[in-house]
Order: sequence, then C-alpha cells, then structure tokens
Amino acid sequence: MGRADEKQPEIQGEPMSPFEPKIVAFCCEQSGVPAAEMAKTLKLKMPNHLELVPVPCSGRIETLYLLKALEGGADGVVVFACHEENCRYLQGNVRLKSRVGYAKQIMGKIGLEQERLEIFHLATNSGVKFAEFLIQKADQLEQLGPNPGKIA
Amino acid sequence: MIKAEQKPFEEILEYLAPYNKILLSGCGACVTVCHAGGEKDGALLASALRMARQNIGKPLEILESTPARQCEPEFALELSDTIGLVQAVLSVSCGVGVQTLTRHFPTTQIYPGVNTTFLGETVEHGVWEERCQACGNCILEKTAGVCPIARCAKQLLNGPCGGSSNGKCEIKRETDCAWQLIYDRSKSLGQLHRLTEIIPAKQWGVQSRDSGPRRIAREDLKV
Amino acid sequence: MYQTIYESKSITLNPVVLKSEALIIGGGIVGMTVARELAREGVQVVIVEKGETLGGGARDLHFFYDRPADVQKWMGDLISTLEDGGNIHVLKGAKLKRLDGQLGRFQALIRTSDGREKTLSPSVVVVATGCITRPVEAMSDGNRCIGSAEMEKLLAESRDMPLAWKGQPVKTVTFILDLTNDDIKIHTVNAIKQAVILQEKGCRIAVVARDLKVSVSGMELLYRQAREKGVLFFKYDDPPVLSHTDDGISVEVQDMTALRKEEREVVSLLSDLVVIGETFAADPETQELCRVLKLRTGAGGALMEDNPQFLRVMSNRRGIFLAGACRFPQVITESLSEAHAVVQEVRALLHEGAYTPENPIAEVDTRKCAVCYTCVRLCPHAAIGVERCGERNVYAAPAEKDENTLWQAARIEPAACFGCGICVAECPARAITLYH
Repeated sequence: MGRADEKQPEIQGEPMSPFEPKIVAFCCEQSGVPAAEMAKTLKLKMPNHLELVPVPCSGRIETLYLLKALEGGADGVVVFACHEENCRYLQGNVRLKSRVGYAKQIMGKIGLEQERLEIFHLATNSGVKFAEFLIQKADQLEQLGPNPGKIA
Repeated sequence: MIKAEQKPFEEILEYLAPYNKILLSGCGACVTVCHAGGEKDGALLASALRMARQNIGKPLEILESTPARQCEPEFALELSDTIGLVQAVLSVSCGVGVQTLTRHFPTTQIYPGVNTTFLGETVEHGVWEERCQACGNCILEKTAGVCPIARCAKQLLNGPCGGSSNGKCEIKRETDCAWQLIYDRSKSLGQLHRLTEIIPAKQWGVQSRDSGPRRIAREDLKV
Repeated sequence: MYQTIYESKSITLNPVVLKSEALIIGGGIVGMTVARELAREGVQVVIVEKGETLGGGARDLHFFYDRPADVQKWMGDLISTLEDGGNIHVLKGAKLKRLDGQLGRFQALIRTSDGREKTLSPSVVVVATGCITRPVEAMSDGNRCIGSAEMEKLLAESRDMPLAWKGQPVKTVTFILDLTNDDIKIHTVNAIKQAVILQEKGCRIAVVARDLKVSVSGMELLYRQAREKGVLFFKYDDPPVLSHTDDGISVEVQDMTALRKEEREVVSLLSDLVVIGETFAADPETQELCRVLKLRTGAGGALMEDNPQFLRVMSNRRGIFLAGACRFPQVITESLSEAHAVVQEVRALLHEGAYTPENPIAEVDTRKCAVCYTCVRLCPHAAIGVERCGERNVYAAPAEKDENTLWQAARIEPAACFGCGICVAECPARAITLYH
C-alpha cells in the first residue's frame, strides 16, 4: 500500500496531524510492571497512545493475544519479559519467545511488517530502558505507518 | 490419533476469496491434540485471515465455533443455526469432519483448513510421526509391534531392502529402517525365529483400501 | 480479547491439610541436621538413606577448616541424637521409587532393604542426596599423586607423628587447584586447611591455583594464617605440567603472581606428593531421583538453578526442598546453612497445619479438555496431572452436557499451582482459565 512514503497533503498553514502509533505493551509482573512503574515515577517520556497489559508471567501471553492486539487496533505490540534464565516460573519467557516467532511467521503471511512485534528483555530496575525502548519503537512505527491489518 | 497440519495460508485465502462472511469450525478432538485446529489454533487462523483481508481492503467476517468433534452427526447438526448465517464454512477438522459436514449440509460450501496427514504417535511434545496406514489387516503381531506398512518406505513385508544402512532408510536418511526396528525388537523379545515365517503379500484390493471406501457394519448394534 | 487474562470470578480455594510429617532423602550431614531440627519441633521425620551407614560425603572429612573439632566425632554425636528414636525414623538401604500426588497428598513409595515396599504420606520432601566425585586423572601410574580425600585420611591417621606415604616420609607437598570445576571452591578450602596442618607438622607446602577465591566465611583468616606459616602460593594461567623424577614429583608452572611479565618465570616445584582435588560430577542416581520427583535440573544436570528469582533451597515444586551438595557442591558450613534454611522453610509451611492456595490459580474446564497432555508436560511446577474427575468415564451428547457429566481430564492441583499461566496459553482447546 505504500502509506509510509505517501506524501502528507498540506493545506496552507495547517499541516495534517501526524500519525501517532498505538502500542500495546504486555508487561510481565516480575519485570515489565516494576520497570513501567519506575518509568512513571521518574516521569520519563513515553509514547502517547500506550496500553499496558500486565500479565503474571510473559508465559501467560497466548500467541492469539499478540495477533488480537494488532487486529484490535494496535500499530505495534511489545512484550516486556524477564531475561532468559531469569524467569521466575522457569519456562515462561522461553515459551513466549517461540510464540513470538510463530506470530511473526503469521504476520509475514498476512503482509504485516515483522517489526510491529518485538520482545524486550529487562529486569525490575530497567525503568529507563523501558521508556527508551518504547520511544524508539514509536519512532519506528511512525515510519512504518498505521497497521494495515487492524480492524477496530 | 489422526494428525493434521494447517494448510498453507495463501491456499486458504484463495478458497475464501469469493466470500465476506464465513464460519470457521474447529474440532475438539484429534486436531486439538496436535495443535492444528482446535479452539486456540482456529482462533489464531481466524484472526490472521481477518487481518489479511483487511490489508487488501476486502473485510471478511468470521464466526468461530468448536464442537467437541465433527465426525458424529449430532455434532455436525450443532452447527446448523450458525451455518444458516454464513456463505461458506472453513473447517479445520480432519477430512472426516469436513465430509461429515458436507453430508449434512449439502447446499453449503465446506472448505478444508488443514491437510489430514497421517495416523500417528506423539514422539515428543510437538513432534508426531506416522505409525499406521489403516490397511485393515493388522500384522503387528508378526512384526514385534512395528508396522512395516506405515514405517517402511517400500512397505516390504519380509525383511529390509539392500539399502538399509546402519539402521537407517535409504529413501530418507533420518528415518529408522523399520525392519531394523523389527529385528531389534524381536531379538529383545526372544522372538527372532518368528522372522522366518513368511508374511504373504497384502490383498490391497480385497482386504484393504484399493476398492473404494470401506465400511464396518455391526448388525447387532444397529437400531 | 486479552481482558480475559484473569477471570474475574473467584473460585473456592480450600486449604490443604499439612500433617507434621517430612520425608528426607539422603542421610548425610544435611539430611541429618534437617531431621534433628525438625524433630525437635515435633515433626515426624523419616530419613531414607540408600547406603548401610549414615554420614554421606562427610565420612571422608576429618578436619573442619574453621574450628579445631574433629568431624568424625561431631558426626558421631549427630548420628547418635538421631538414633535416640522419638520423632526420627531412619531407613537404611532404602530408596524412593515413586512420588505421586501433590502438596498435602504426596504418596511416597519406598523400597526398603528387605525388598519390601512401604508407602509414606509426607507433607514435605527434602532432597539431600549429595554429589559424587571422580578420582584424579593425573599421571598414568598414579604415583605420588593423590586426591584431596586421601590426603585428609593420611593426616587424620598420622596424628602427631610425621607424615608418611607408602612407608616413605613426606616432607614436601604441592597442591594443585582449579584443574576442573573452576566454579567449585571446596578444594581451595580443603587445600589451604590441609596446608596449614602440614606446615605445623614441619612440611614445606606449595599451593598452585588459577584463582585463589577465599570467599567462604573464615577463609580470609585461614589464608592469612597459611601465608604466615610459610605456605607458598602460585597462580597459573596455563595448567601446570607434572613429571616424575627419581625422588619425587615435579610441578612446573608459570607463576602469574608477579606484576611484570618479565618476572613471570616458570617455577619448578619438586615435592614428595602432589594433591589434586577430585572432580565433582552430577550423580546419575540423583538425576534419576529428579525424574521420579519431577524436579528440574539446570545446566550440566545439577539441581541448582542459576536464576536469581529462585530462593536457594526451593525447587520448582511447592513442598519439595533441596539442600547441600546435591544442589551445588559446597563447603560443609555452607551445606549446613542450607540445611537450616530448609528447616525454616519447612517450619513456615507446616506451622499452620494447612496450606491455603493463593490466587492466581489456574483451573481446567473438564468439558473442553482433550487430554492431550500439553499442560502436564509444560507446567514448570509439575502441578498438573491427568486424573479421573468424575466417577464414570462417560461421554455425553452435547445437548445433555451438564456439571455432573465429567470425564477423564487434566487437573491442576491448586496447592501446587504457582499461577504463572503458561498452561493457559498453551492449551490447544483453550480449556484453562486463570482465576484472580
């Protein structure tokens, strides 16, 4: 569709409002949630349209949720999970990794850019990295444009 | 159990191109167990299809339903009301389920969403392998419990071919030679002498599948 | 959508009765210490020891590194407190064959020394099976090159007399450390301990190591003591080279302790004996036990998880604890610390007489379960099994489905569930719900 490189039509003196991507961030309660809270306490800059979904372990995130988030209006989906070998429930982040791989394959078939889904490994004290990653992802998604598969 | 694999996505999209409202019907039995078409994998496929169609500007409405099985008449009929609301059905059950639906809904297009591949065993979680080809006359007693019809590439009945090498098959190097397995197991059971008994050639036409769909009728059970 | 990550309605979580009964596998110093402490609190303890005697790996130990007491005497006292009867029952020559059930209803099947089977129903299980060692792989003829355990024995037997080995006097000994298992520091501790004793007997001692890590409590002092008594220490990067001479064994090592490269000469140490620590290995019997207990092993088959989220003596299953060398080979004081930690954890679990499961808890909808075993295989806490849920194994036509028509399905034990939700995400029939 080439939306990303379509020129924005300009009305004299009034540019069109730029596209602000919607990001759904699944946050593992052992790492993502504390990091999110730290980012909030430190009043770090974060993207505007951000939805945080806390989960007890990243292993709780079904492959279906990753796609449903995109279907339901997200332009990008991010999963904040503990570092490998640091999962409190041993296997969760490992299972999640396989599911993200599978979801990316499906996204390829649908025609969605695989960058719209990404895992970020972090620890409880990674508030700064949390915010920085989200800002980076928002920039990347701005370039990619809105999710062409979303239905909401 | 019956094992199946989801059909290539592009193929499914092609089947569904003419429609804008379909039913995706899953099955709670075999395809659930091999993660090809139960509620979870059905929902995943539905979501992917919706997004793919949205992406090309031709939205597709998908209703989802997963009866416990699709191969009994009562289960097929469970879907009657929903089928009345759609233009076609994508069934991710095995071929049996698809055809049960076809028989009960003669005026509805029913499409297969999975390829029914084989009757198989779970080797490890996530890995399944063919074990039985439903030949109709089981010879497992003679072959120490390893089936040469399903597991020998040449379906040999009286020993390995000359290509069996280091216990592996010459057709597919990763595959164990079925007759090696039969030999090893016969040996550990102390039954090597059984291998001298000749197993006659299968009567594919008369006793097996080469003369049309087979049928079992239990007169004592019929209502 | 994903708002159903947690189901908002609650489920009744019945407390699980926990009797004051513990099963300890392994009758070494860790198992015995845990038994003694728990028994003092009125817990009924059964020790299952595969050998004919108690003591485990510490039977090779004679000297503590941090106090002048004798290990064997200390252990003898410990054993006699156990054999006083009361709350402790010791089964020697016995092995655990099976453990069924979950917290609150463990069923342990034990094969006793007379070949019979005994069933116990402990509330907690403690694994303290120790580790195994492989002898030194040094010189081809094993001449003048002995292991740490043999040196310990020589020292104990020599009492106040000068040291002798195979009838010959021993005046000089070189210890070589860190050839294998460089993450385990037991040999460092033992070597320095033995070096101090040997120096006091008038021997000249050298210790050659890659890494002189003395991070165990009391070791800084012991090291200092060793230096003051004249023990020589050398550090190497490339492993030392051993060779036999007519009257001794020579160890050649490039000494890395000098700061300047030019001063790092190759030093040749000629001694009567060389001591090399035995290699620690994963015990295949412990591996088998892990399979029976459904415990997860980490890298190299060791029980220790290199995971900071995991408290030291906890296993992946609620109600099963690990301590001592089976978890990770460590010095005696550390093993005993772990024993005490296990006692604390067991007390905490048993003191109320019941365990009340806490949300989040997952539950299987038996009507949707296809009994595919996916959740059973993937639960990291072995909390799921396939059991008959109803009394009959019937299938009902869909129109008649109701609460009472159940059939064989997977079941999650609430007392064993950790609420991670992995099973919920893996279930191909989406039959599992996580309750909050």
